[in-house]
Amino acid sequence: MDGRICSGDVSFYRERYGLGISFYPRGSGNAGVFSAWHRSGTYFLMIDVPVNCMTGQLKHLVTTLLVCAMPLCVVAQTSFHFGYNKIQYEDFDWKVMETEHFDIYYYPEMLELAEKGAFFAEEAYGELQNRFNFSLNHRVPLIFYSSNLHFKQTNLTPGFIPDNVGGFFEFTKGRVVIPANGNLHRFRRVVRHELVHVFMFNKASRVMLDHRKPRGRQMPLWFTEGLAEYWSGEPDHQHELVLRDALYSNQFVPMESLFRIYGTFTMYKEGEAICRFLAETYGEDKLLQIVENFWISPNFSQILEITMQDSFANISHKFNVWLKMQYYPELPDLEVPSIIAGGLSSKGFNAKPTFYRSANGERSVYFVGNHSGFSSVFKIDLDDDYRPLSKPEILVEGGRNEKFEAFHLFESRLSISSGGKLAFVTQSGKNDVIHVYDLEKNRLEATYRFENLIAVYSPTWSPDATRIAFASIDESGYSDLYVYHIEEQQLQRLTHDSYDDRDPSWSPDGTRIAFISDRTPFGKEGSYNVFTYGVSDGRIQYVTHGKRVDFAPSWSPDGDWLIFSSSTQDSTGRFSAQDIWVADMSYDLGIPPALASVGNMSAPDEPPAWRSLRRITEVTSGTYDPVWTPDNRILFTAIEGLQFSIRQLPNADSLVATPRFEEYTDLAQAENATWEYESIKLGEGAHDGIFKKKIKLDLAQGAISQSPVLGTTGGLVLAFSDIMSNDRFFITLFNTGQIQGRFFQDISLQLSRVQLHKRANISYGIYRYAGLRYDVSDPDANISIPRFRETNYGGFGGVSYPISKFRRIEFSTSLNWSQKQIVDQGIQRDALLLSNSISIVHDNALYWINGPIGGWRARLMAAYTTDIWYSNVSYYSLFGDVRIYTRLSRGITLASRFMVGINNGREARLWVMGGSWDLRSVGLFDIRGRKIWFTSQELRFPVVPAPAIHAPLLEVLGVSYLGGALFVDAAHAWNDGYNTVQPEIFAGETIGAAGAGLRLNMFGVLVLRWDIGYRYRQTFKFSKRNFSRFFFGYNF
Amino acid sequence: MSVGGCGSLKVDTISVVTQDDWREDSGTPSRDRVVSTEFSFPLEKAWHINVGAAFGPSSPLLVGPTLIVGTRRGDLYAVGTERGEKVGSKRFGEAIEGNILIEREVVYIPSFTGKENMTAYDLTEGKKLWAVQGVPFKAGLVSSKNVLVGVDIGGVIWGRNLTSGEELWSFKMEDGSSGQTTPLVLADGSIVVAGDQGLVIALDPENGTILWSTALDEPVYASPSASGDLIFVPTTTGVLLALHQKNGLLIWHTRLGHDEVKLTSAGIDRQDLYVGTSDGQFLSLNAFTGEIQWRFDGPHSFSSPPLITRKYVLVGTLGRKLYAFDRVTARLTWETELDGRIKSAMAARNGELFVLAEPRHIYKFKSREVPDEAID
Repeated sequence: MDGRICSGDVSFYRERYGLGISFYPRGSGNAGVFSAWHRSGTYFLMIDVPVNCMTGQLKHLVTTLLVCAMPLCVVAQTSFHFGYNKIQYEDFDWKVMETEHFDIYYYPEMLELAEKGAFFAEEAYGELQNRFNFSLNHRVPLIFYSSNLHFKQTNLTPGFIPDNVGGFFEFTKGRVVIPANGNLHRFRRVVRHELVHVFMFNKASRVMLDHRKPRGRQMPLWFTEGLAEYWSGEPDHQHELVLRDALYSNQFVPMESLFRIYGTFTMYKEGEAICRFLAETYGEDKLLQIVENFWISPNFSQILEITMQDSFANISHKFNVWLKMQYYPELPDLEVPSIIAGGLSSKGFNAKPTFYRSANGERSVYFVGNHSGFSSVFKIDLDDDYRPLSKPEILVEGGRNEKFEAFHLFESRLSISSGGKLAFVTQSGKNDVIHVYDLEKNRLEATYRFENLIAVYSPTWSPDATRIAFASIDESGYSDLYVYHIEEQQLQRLTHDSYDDRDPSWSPDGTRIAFISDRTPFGKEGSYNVFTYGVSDGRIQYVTHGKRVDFAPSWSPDGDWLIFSSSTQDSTGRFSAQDIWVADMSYDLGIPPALASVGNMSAPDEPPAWRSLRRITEVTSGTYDPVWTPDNRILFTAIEGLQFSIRQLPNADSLVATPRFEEYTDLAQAENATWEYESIKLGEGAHDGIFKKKIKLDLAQGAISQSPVLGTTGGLVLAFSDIMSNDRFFITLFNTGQIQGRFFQDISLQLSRVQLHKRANISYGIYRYAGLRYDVSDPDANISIPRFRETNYGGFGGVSYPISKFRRIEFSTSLNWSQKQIVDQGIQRDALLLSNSISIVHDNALYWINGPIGGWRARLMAAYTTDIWYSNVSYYSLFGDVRIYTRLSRGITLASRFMVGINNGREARLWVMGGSWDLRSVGLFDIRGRKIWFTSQELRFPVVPAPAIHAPLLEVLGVSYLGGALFVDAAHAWNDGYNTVQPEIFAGETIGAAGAGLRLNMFGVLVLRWDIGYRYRQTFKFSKRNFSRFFFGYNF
Repeated sequence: MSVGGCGSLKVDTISVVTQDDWREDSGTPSRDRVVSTEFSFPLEKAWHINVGAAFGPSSPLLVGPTLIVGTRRGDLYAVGTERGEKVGSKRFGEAIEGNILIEREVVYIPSFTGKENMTAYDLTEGKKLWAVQGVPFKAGLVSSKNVLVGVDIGGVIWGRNLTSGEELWSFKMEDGSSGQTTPLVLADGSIVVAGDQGLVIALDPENGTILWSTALDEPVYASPSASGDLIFVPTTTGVLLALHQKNGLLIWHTRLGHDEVKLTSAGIDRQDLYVGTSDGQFLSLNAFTGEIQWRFDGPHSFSSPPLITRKYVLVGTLGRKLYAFDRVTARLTWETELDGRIKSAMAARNGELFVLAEPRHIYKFKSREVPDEAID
């Protein structure tokens, strides 16, 4: 996604300025290099920057460099790009804690969590040092965030981080970045997972160096991630869920075909299973041997064969048998959700169903879904038998504006009050908010924001609809329960400890709030049990107890039952499928065993009590979020075939009366065992370090280029950044001298700085450019070969202020002294140019594999450039570019683009068009004029959307997607008169094209485009000339 | 001595055998790692040289005035011990992981990858005598009774005629073990081979007859050592075992760490046994009982086998540290930090210490003062 966004942005530069672009990932998607050769604007320029820049902040870097590269092009013509904004809402007060092997970066609010993280890291180090038989001879920077929403602001990784990213390790500086999510067990596991990557990367690098092999070789992702999972802990319930589903739905991928699920969660879990299989079958030490034999061959299968002394086919076969022997014997007793439960919505991803019967008696199910790329709240109307009356329709669309910036698709439930008030959570700016939507009036009624609560999950109404309970992660990184009293506008904290409390559900009688928590003796190993919280007395009581992972409890309409999902752990530690369970809440326990009150676990002083638990399903893989409706039906989310669908089971009472399994939990055995992970305390095991920016080299790269116009040019780019990648420095040095005597005259140098740590991003720099320049937009240059000499000195600055994720305003300025010589036209002119511009940019486009497929994006810009010393130059610029993507169906998009540009005044520059990026029927930059308009309508549709399914042979060849396009383009450029024809620059006439094309995505990153069609000239008069154009780059 | 050109290696003095020569890993077939020299600490670095690639776990060899080492790039590299100058090098395959062996003027080189997996090369003539293709070798080679014995990663143990390379016998270990460690030569000339799955076999090198075998059920990735009547087998599960040389019976075993801790090869001098662990312990044990005599807890994995002098024991770590401990008091007598991790066994003679370390360096240290009398 990041690459697509970035390359999409970059393509526009190419479109406008003739940037030659390549994008090639380095590492596992966490770092990359973006290279560009700028030839047409002015001098040769090579940009080679960490791909981190290719996000919302890309704008600054590229703007900066382009400004430098084009000192005579007004600023107005330099900032044409789109992209979302990654906003630095928080000004983190970074601290450093130094342990034996790590530098822990944290902010004061999360000190306690950081101390636990420090322990986890050192604990993992000790283990991994043994497993890898390897020590790290450098200190590893670990950067912690207390929540995913803070983590999303980091500049250490490109692009936008989804909800489910647990952390990452980036290779450039060896930094590990991990957010907490309220659960310490998971936090510990992620720390271990990432440190496996650190050890493996360093060990593998060492192995390659030992054998004098190039270090660029990468292990397959399934192995690196699989080993990281395997060595970070025992298989968890998700591992079981994914493997069960893959096997039972016949989507299991054998080892030789793992590329088909590259990068997916299934690949992670299957990789983990393979590592476990290798260890059990061939010996645990063989896993390390694989790493130590990594140098032998770029063919990983060969490494496996040498290490295991077995053929790859045999290894793969044994793995298949090993895995199936664990699962297939159970199959005859299992139920497939799509057979036993009616489907309400199965397209795309669907989760978190809830039910509402309106005042006029209509039944509807509301849920969070993602059917087209944006997560939204959907509504589906049902008949009396819960059959869908229509397709799901969007009630609240997310991902399109700041208010509903992003839904937590699989993490936050919906709740509807008896009066029809729907409460749901979205991210909105710096933190999550609770929205209340009136279903009867069909309008958003209120939005509640809590300043110190970062992430908010699963609101639940009190029966009288005066309060909303929810779970939230505050700045400390712990997840607790809260109640918001709406009328009083008061926030009440129910729990306040390091346990992970989630999924609250208010009982129909209003006396209790059910929730899940790891405040159980088994919580340290990842278990969650169901508890109730006494609203009046704050007493917390067990509902379930034991090694199980319970989710999402909710009450039956009469309050006699709690229904929830659960995966139980057997004596071997293996988890079961994730079934629907109920707990009998129809009776109070004789004398309830008080197990914990808020913030203080107290000893149980009550006699034993039993609670009946019944499992009412026996599904193949998993269920989530069961809801018992007033119509005696159970709504739930089912996972089957890696799809999440909303389903319903009738006759809930019968299911409960005849359970598949029943147990009585003796809650007297529920120990009053508090648990806590150890810490490395600041001032004890760790000492306070001094936060330093640590500006270090990210990249040093030389380049040489041969151009028929400019001759041979050579250059050097150096990039530096600080530990947080917030402060970046770039040095570009190149020379276009054609003879030895001009070596020093034609040296060009640029120094620039980009600061990203505040909400407003700032860039500035200075430069000297000298030598030959090729500029098709220069009004004085020769039209056929616009080449001349120019020497420039100047400085520039820019500020970009993001209004929201989707909109920003940009200011830029530059001061440039220019001396231009155009010998063949006898022109020599000096100028001191001052350029200022302001732009507003909107982008909420949804990107897919070949480019945008939904939403819209636009840029409006105004600029003025003047020669403040000689008065040789004075002109203003206006520019507008609007691109609208209308989805006609799931796979078909109509892309409409409208662009207008005006440069008017003395020595105003020319706009240029032509080539694959806009008017594809003419050559590159053939169309020039001070005023232009352009439009393109392109109908995009899939041809082979999923090669893995439809054409496996194409997938083997690296084809990720094959799409088609029908297009119509038209453009007009003019100078003095709209119809004053200047045939040498195609001005004064409307030129267009119509045709069709193919879009071939290779390896998920490289889009090859082939267009054929007919040209139109002279106001759409048919010219009977066809054209064919092949190029690469993402759709506009 | 003559220096060959690029890609050749000749060492004229190779056939002159002295008692100080190290012609195989650790100098002796039993690999007890006891040296007949002494150091006076602190040691000073005499020279270090970059030989272009890293090293396997074995020690360098010392032949007259020449140090010979195999590298993970496949080079056999010769260095003058006095000044550290390059004497010559020659490429054999793509990686030399295991112990190289010098018998008379011939060096026997196992190779992990490449066209030939074992080569006999005459160092004085500078020519290849014979070579064989086959399964890669990660383990080293030993000889006894004029038979060259090795075990490949496929778990096949074989004996070859030292002169002709002709295979005399071979068999595959029954438990599917792979050969990761160099065999031992016991005092009676019998060979002990340990597979990575824990099968330990004693055999007659002349005909491959198995004298005894013991299944330890513990993975073995570091070479066993022998001293007195015992064979000491380190494992990757934190367990050190002592077997009787005559029958392979388990005499004692001791757990030195949890089941993920990897042990280095042991060094033994009579009743004192020294071993390092991957969790940062360096231990002295009673070789007859397995009882711990003293322990040093360090911050990094101990990775190189120990080197034992009369008064001291030296050991390297993955933390780039080289330590010397007083054998009696356990006092850390001397330490120094090198440029990289120390993963290979060391060599020593005449008060000189040779250390192999990352990234690809050979170091020579020597005593600043006149060393004590060498032990017998």
